Amino acid sequence: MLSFVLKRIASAIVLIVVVSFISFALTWLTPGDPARAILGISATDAQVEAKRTALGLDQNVFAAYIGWVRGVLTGDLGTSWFTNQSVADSIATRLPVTLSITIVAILLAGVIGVGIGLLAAARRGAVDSAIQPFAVLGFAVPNFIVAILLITVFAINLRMVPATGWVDFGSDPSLWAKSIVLPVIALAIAATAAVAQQTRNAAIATMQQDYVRTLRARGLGTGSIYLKHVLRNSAPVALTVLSLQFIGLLSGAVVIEYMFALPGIGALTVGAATQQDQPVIQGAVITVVIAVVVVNLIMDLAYAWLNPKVRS
Amino acid sequence: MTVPPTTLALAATTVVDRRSTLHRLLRNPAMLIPAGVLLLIVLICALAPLFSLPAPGFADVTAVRQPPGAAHLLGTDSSGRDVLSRLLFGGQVTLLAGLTATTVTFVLGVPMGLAAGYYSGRLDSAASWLSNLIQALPAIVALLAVSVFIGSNPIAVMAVFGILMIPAMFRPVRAAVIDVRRELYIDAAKVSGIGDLAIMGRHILGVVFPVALIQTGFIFGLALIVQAGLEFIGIGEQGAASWGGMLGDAFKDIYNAPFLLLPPALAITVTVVCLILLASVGRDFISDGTTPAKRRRASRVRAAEAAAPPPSTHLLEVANLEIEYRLDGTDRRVVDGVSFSVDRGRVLGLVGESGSGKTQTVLGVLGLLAAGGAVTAGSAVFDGRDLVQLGAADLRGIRGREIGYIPQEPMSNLDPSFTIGSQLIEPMRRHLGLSRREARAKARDLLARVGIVDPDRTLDSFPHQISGGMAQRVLIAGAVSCDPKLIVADEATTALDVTVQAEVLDLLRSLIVERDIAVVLVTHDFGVVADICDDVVVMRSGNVLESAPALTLFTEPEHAYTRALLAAAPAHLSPREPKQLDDAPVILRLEDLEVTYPGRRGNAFVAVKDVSFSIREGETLGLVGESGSGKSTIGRAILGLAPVTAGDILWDGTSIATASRSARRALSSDIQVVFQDPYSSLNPAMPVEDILVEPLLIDPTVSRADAVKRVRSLLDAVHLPADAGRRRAREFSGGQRQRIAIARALSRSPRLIICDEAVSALDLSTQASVLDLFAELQQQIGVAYLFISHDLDVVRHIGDRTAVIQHGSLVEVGDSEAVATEPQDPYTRRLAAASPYPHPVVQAERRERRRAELATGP
Amino acid sequence: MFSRFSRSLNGGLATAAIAVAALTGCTTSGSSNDNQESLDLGSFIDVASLDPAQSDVGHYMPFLQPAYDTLIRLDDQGELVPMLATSWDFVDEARTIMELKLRDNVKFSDGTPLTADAVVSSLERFKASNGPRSTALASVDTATAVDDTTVQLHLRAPDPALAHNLALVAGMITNPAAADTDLASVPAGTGPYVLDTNATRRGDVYVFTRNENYYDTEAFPFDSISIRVLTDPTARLNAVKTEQVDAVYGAPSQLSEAQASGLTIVSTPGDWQGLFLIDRDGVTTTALGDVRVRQAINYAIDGDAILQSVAFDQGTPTTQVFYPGTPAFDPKLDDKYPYDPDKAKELLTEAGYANGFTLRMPSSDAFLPEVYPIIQQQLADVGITVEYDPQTPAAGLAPYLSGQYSSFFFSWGASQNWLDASLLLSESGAWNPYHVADPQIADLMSKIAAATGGEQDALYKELSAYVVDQAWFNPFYVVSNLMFVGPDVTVTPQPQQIVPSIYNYRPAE
Repeated sequence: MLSFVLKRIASAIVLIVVVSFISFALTWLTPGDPARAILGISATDAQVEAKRTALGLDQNVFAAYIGWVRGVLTGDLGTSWFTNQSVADSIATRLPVTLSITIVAILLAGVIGVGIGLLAAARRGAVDSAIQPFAVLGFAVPNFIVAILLITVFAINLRMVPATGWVDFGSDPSLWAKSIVLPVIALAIAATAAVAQQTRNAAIATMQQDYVRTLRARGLGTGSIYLKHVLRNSAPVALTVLSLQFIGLLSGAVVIEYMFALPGIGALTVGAATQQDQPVIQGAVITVVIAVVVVNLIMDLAYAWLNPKVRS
Repeated sequence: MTVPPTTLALAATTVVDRRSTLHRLLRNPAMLIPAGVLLLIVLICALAPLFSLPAPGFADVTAVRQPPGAAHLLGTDSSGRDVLSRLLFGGQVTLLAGLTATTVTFVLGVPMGLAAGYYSGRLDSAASWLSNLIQALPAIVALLAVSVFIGSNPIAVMAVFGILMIPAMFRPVRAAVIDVRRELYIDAAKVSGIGDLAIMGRHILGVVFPVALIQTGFIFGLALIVQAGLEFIGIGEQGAASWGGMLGDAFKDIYNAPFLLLPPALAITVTVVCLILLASVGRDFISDGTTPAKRRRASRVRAAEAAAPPPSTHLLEVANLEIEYRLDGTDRRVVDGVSFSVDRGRVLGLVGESGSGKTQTVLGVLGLLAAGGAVTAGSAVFDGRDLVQLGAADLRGIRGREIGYIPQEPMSNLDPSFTIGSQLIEPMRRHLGLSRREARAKARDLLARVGIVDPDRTLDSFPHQISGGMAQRVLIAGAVSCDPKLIVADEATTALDVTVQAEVLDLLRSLIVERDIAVVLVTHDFGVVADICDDVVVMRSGNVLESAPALTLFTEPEHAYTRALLAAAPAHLSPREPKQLDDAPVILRLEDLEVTYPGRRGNAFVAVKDVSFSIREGETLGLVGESGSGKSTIGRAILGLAPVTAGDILWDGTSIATASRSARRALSSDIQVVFQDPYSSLNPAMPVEDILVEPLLIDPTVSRADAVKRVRSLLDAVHLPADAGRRRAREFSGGQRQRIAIARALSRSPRLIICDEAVSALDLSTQASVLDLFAELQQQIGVAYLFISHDLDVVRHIGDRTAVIQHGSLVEVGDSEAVATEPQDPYTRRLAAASPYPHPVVQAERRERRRAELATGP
Repeated sequence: MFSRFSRSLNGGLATAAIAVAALTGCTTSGSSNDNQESLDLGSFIDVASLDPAQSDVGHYMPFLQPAYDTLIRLDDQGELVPMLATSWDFVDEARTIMELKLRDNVKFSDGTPLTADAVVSSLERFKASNGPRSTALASVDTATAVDDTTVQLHLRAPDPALAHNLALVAGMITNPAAADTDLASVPAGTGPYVLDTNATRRGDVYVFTRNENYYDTEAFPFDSISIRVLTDPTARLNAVKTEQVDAVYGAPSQLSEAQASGLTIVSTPGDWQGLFLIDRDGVTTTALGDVRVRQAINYAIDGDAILQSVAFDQGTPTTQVFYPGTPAFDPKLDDKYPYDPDKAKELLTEAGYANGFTLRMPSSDAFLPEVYPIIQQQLADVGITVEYDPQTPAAGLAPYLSGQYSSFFFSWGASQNWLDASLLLSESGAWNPYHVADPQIADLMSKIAAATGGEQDALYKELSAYVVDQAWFNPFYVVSNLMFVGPDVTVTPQPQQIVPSIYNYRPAE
């Protein structure tokens, strides 16, 4: 197991290097002039040139990348060109926002989706008939349209929750919950639908396995069969969907972050990318990539835990 | 070794017809509606210039944010542009952009998946790594950078999005290819000498195409959503009308002109819904088999119809049982008025060929019919209660507690995710109210009782960690764990090797005596019947043909069908006429062959070692061994489908162990194969004629007309009607398919055919006639066979010589008759002794002899 | 002069993400800082740097003013009044030596006294910093401390904008002792407040508390100032509605909602928005070399209608580039180019463009995207074909300043006349990218540099009239800057600055 983890970490490092270089090069080679943008409208050409030199924009892309890597290795992610803020600090303040909404959304999707999926598989009938249209709509209706509806109904008409804004969990947990409830719902619907549908299909497939009939032949109750055996054997499918959904949300939450004025990592990335704020882009990119790698690793470990064949 | 699936399973899972999936899809109403709506949307957008609308960019500053009205049907936006016009012209841009993304994904992802799945190895690793890399790329950054590079043209941005979506196409396509690649018909095509590209084009693309197409629907939908999202956060082409852009603009103006939001939101949602609907319906369609059309509500006979159970003196008395299944809206009766009874201490055999309804009968009694099935008449009185009329809860109290069940396939009947212990303990705790510790102690004793050497370790093992024989013992332990009065055993030993089967039957026999249990044993093997049954019921097509005490049935079978079945039992097949082959040239020689499969973490698995034998022209060499002995691997090594790691294979004196692909192709006219599973060895969707013509046309000098003529004669040779060529493989029964497979093997007049368990999957009567066909063909054209089988009797019947293999090594080679009657090697002796003879008296003697031998010898 | 446009570009997509819930009346929390000891502002953007030498003006000013006093202060009438300097006069005929007298009882926040040497070193540091505003002291050759309270600035050439610049970031005096510390995060000046680094969270909220060493505490009624970063317009409106903050910068589209919520609206003229017709010699687009073509464009566009549709009538139509109320601004000039497509066509025909011509312009989604199609349409009406090259925000100001395009739509925050003239009109001006040399303009500017008082004002007006006549630009209108203000404070607007200075706030009665 240890060697498995080590191997995964090694390949993850390669992945991070490649991805970080690609994003570095893309940003670096993109036309545009951050120096001019930083200095504003009254700067002279000479000033802009001086700024370019100060930022190291006159280097070639490899030299610049190596410089950046060197910084990262010494624990220095650099400073934003535009806000002069430490990139590590920005990420540290913004990551909790994005993780709050994505993790809560995924947990919600996992619990509700698996529940609905199992119910549909076990009972068929109305729940099952509804699950397909739910899954289709969940996928097909863009989450920002869902968000518009949610905001209109719950924030504007009913005034139950704030329309926008972010409250730190530490400063007030109940306000934190209020501030994320709508974004979480907007994000969770599609994921719930996907999880429910996949769980349902997997559960039905599991229920057709010989061993389920054998368990029934042993006189086991329906509850025990579904909640123990069917659930356990359908779980890998649900986990796969959840992990894919989570990875999707990590960068896909940006639209929702914008709509709800949440200072998340997505908004940071897009803001930085539009300005070509290289240090921030790089910091955000490796944060997301590391998150993806970690999610995948956790997923592999969860598989191993669920599937005795992999474990041994 | 598998056993022919029961009729119903067969009907439901008959290998999915892949190529015509597309046609069936298109006839599906669930597809038609969204497809129609999509078409309408596309048409309206495409024909936008024909409607007399203002230009989409025409901005009337005096008429901004006009609500919908006569002048502007959908109003005007914040620049005073007509919303309807922008919606329709924007549709062109949006749909074209979506099309771009999907085209890029399709054009790059499908070949990548095809190549990775087909060639596997390094190519696969590289492609998969690339796919993972693309997946880890933060899409937003990539799209942003690109939109800056190429000027935020939505088409260009979507092309890049198409690249980012490659994994979504690559993965399913690769998986589908790997799935098909495992099908034997791909191996068969390779052996026929057909090139990779032709295989991909003819056999794989047909499977992959629907998968890819359906994935395309999802990607198209996703592309539209992502495009809208990008426009929404301000990354997109400015000014140009596109639905996403319109939505973004409207959103910015929502406070002052909320009506602007609706048209683009609806356009996007409806289009995407249609795309996703198409894709999901398609996906369900392909992955299906899993959803029975309609669940049958009244799954059991109503209690009111038969208030009191008919009185019975037997432990179980089944009377006039009828079972129907609803498939595609029509009811099919699979069990039609079956009656039998069984008492404690007695074993009742329920015998029949596949489709006879024997398994459905016992599942019906237990209330375990698959979805769609129901007992529609009759009774099954068990210990005074009619099981047919009991409620689900009462039935649960009886199942496991009073009636034990032993299923057929040991491995698939244990939950792979739970330990043996927990699976044994759970029912005991439920039925007997034992504590966890008591139940575990009892489970331990049970495992010891069923002959498991290390019960503690087994309790903590997962199913994949134990052998098939052990698994079957565990299932038997489970069946008797709550001290039932009756055990229902459904082909309980069929999946086992004969030596294990003999031990399991012994175990069962001793348990019956020890606990005074009644047994209903479902089987197709008269040897097993002879070994253990007291009474026998012979079934055919859902009816009982005859029932009799075992001895009576074997000595005075009443029904012609029963007689025919008994005659077809391999043990009753006539021994082979000896042939004079000493002067025939040796065509194939194996010299110290070794095959090693690379395992994970360096644990290479040696499947075959130091095997040497030769086959002469016109000779049949039988190769016998139990599962995992390496017998099939030898065949595959000769065909070039398994890696030869040492030793050599000589064909006409020339080494072919490491033959190149082109050399293999040349060899394909000399060496052919017939695989075990007739269902997977023929591409089910191809017309038989195409399957048979394929290898013939490899020779460029052969015209299609000549090839077809040859096919006719081949079909004739395997006794199939001349018009069979026009039908698709899936329309034939198992025996007929095996004949087609033989015809394919014969098509290029090979000198050697490798028959890999070529008759094992067939019913007894069919097996006998196919064996006759093999013999007949050999007589006519002098082909040699390497006949691989687990059944000593079959090999004795067909083989000139027999080779016996154990753990990858040959233990004995000799004249078939000699090997069968006077085996030299102890292993061969054990094998011969374990094979049950289909006559109760003879079998009882054999059993005693075997016991005696086991008691004395090692 | 902090342009709304460039701010939008710099602010990334903040402006693009809008206001769903501009409609919202929701309350985030009932609690508020109605405690009058604190002034709580909501800022449109985060401050880039708390070091004046690295900071721009406009929205950044309220972040810097608490900790830094300027040498000269711009009052709420746009007049220059004493702050750290009690007087600033040119002591020579050529107006190239400015002498500043310093207030004598001033201390930095760490207690060290403000001396002429400190001022000199602060100015030198600023000049050498290569910050966004370092050109503000470009005309200064040397700065010398004559005595403890007297500083002399020796100029290379007369600079009518120097005093104005000393009222902005260039005039903020940093403590020389802190020159090498992290001034970007921790300011060190002589201002009335100091940054409370414990309560401050960069990117979110900045908190200032009183500077114990300040010389004129009474002038500042608030015990503390906090500035919350609220980039989202809806979030800003919500914050002021729920009294989480006292005042925010507002958008015209939110006006009715703000009024309905009972907020006080404070309005002042802001940017002018319109076309820069920069290729006045016809280098890239020959037609623009003809003044009649440029005038035709001025006639062709209905600025009033655009003002109504995109800015909800919050502003006034104009034709000139100078800030209303400044010496160069002449109300009479605003009638020069009424919307008159026929006149435009006439002029085009005269110039030989009866069949029109093609104009390539950059377009951007970041700011007022709805204006582009209107311009395109109205110019098309007179025969001019506009083709847009869409720009992403990352392109920044490059498309405008590179000379790649002969004209473009922009939003200009006009301020002091000389600054605007230098950037927009002079041959070397960054915003005259084709470096068109007009002898008339050069002549007027050199006269202005040498003149003072009424004479200078008249020359400015002459310059403005000339530029309007030459149609170097096509300003559509001056849009209003709006502040939405809650019940606890009053504020007077600050002319030429997008948001009020902190000096303009008072507790409500």
